[in-house]
Amino acid sequence: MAGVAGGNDFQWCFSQVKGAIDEDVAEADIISTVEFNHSGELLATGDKGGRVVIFQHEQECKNRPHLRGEYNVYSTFQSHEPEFDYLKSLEIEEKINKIRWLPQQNSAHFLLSTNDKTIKLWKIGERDKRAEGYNLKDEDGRLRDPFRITSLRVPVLMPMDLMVEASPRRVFANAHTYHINSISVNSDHQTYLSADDLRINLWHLEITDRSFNIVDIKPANMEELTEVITAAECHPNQCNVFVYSSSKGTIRLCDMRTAALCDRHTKFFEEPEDPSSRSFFSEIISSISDVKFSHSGRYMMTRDYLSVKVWDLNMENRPVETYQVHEYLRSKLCSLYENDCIFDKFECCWNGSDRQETLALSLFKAICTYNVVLWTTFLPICKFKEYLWRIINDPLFPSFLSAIMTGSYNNFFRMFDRNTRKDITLEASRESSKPRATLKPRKVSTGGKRKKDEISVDSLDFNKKILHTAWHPKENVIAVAATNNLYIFQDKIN
Amino acid sequence: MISKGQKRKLHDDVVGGMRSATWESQRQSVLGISLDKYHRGKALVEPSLRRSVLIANTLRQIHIENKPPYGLVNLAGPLPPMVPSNPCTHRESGLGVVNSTSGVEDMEEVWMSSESDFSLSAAVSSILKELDLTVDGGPGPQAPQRTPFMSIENLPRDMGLKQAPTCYLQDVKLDELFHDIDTSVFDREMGVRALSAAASDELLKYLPSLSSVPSTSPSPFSLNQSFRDLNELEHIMEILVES
Repeated sequence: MAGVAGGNDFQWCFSQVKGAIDEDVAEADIISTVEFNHSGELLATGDKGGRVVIFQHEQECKNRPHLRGEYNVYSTFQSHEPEFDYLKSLEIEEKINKIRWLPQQNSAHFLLSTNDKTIKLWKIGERDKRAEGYNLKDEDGRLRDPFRITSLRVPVLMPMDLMVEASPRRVFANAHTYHINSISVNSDHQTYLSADDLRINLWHLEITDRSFNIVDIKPANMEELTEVITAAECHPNQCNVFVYSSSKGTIRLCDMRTAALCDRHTKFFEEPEDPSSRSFFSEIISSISDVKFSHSGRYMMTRDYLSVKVWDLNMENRPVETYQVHEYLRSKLCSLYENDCIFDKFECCWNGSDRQETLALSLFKAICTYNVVLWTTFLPICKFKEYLWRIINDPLFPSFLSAIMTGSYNNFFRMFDRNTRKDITLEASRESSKPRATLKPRKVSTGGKRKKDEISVDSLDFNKKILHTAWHPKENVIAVAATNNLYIFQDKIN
Repeated sequence: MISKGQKRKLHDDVVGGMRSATWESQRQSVLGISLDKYHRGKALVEPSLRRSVLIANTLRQIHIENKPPYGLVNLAGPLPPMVPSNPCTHRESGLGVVNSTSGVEDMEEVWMSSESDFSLSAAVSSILKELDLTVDGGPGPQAPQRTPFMSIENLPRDMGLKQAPTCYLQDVKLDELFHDIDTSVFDREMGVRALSAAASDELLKYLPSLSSVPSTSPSPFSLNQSFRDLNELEHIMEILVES
């Protein structure tokens, strides 16, 4: 069975690239976050200039059904403006740190976008009709004198060109002293949490003038500060559970039912340090830059500077899987510290759904694997379904596709297949940007001898970093942000 | 110039009583880079707290791992790091910065390393003190009253505690020396008319304000003294920064 990391049947190929080609990249155009919505129809990006650009997936052409449709611009709006904090004489950047979509409940789409200090709820709606024939207004908008009106008419809705409007519906401000690094929508779809360096607040989507403070790690004396919060996320199924990661490489899981203030964690995840690899930079590279729950909620994944770790929520003392992203950088940490690259915050993501199986396929696998046939004759059908559901959700049951993706330098990004244990390095570059061109795996040579097509560590471009990637929730389509360009890749349908 | 990160073999180094040259050179370069990052002045945008905390922790770790090597005698006395820090008391005691540098080679080495200790601990504490003042806009110590249902509307504690940040940034070199002073130790050791902790706190408060707000007038005694101290301190800072 082929996995995402290669094999005969599976290959990634180029689909689209968005963004300017100039060598001179304007700072404001640098993409700072990428997120698919829950259906995968929309893809949102935020940039350092405070803008949000939403792409929409066009329907496939009827005459060429084997091609997936393209993503085209759907809406662009200025989400945040630069501000000046007069009390501290400091600028507040308009850079969009995170975008999170709300689950769709009606025809409009809602998303949360945040900069360092303020979170905004945006509604993106379509309008394709307008009312004509007002009584008090002319067609060009001028008010009519009410005394001149001799007859009344009922306005009628006339079709018009599709217009996509983005309007801010809520502004959640003034609740964070420090820089917001994460927002996460809760599974109850009514609340969400926002985390800054030292505090985590819980908001209700309808209420903007107050929030609950649920975690506060600020010490009474700031001189004693040694640890900050780096990321936080709500559990995908349990609305009372969330996790937050720290700059010391620890993850704390908290249950909001235990106390109103969750300063004491329910679970504490930390991998003991390997004493043989200790260096001056051990703490910095252990700092977790991203934490993501798996779709099932049984696992979570953390990204630190050199690796990605998968944790089982039931095991706190070490991760169940560790994947090295760019271990060849370990000997370069001193220079990466000097040029500040060691502080780069890479994100990571799971593939669309942990289990892309239909029930029929599951049944087939169950029969082959567990010899279920013997049991079915003695069980009523509802019991059988229940039994089958438990089997396919058993962690030992092999899932069809489970993969994780994260970025690296030189516009490389890495994918790890959890089933086959294979990994692949791909590059997002203009050179390999021909339509449906297959991406060639890349390799970094670590030893003395550099093979052909390999690139040596010293030739890597550390200014070309892929910090933000996203995986379509249902299909094998990925979005990769490389500085100011957004690349979209998809799997080759054979 | 890329310096390779070395896997440091802790046991060998400590047991042997000698530091390996590569470890020491890496330590020096990391120390230099960290201090450089710290001193590089603030951008207009608020600095990242995570980055500052990580740099401060790295400095702290270097400081901890720079304990005098086993077997080397500390000739400068029980607390050499304190010697250059308080110009008032060390003048009384006769141990000046100049005096301690002239001397045995070993002593100088110890003094130099403790000088970097001093600058390290000063830098570490001042990074965080500064963060506190920059970010919160006021003295950090009191923890805000926090209830689960408190509305966090306008962060009232920030309102009345505005500092003039540019003034503070100019003074940071002085403050960084002062915050690390432990004058109670000197009181014990020297036993002279040492400033009591309270008096020295008073002095500390006045000194920064002197350079920024000339109109404030503390007592004449501390005024004269502190002007001399300012020059002396700047001189010391030059030495530290160059080392």
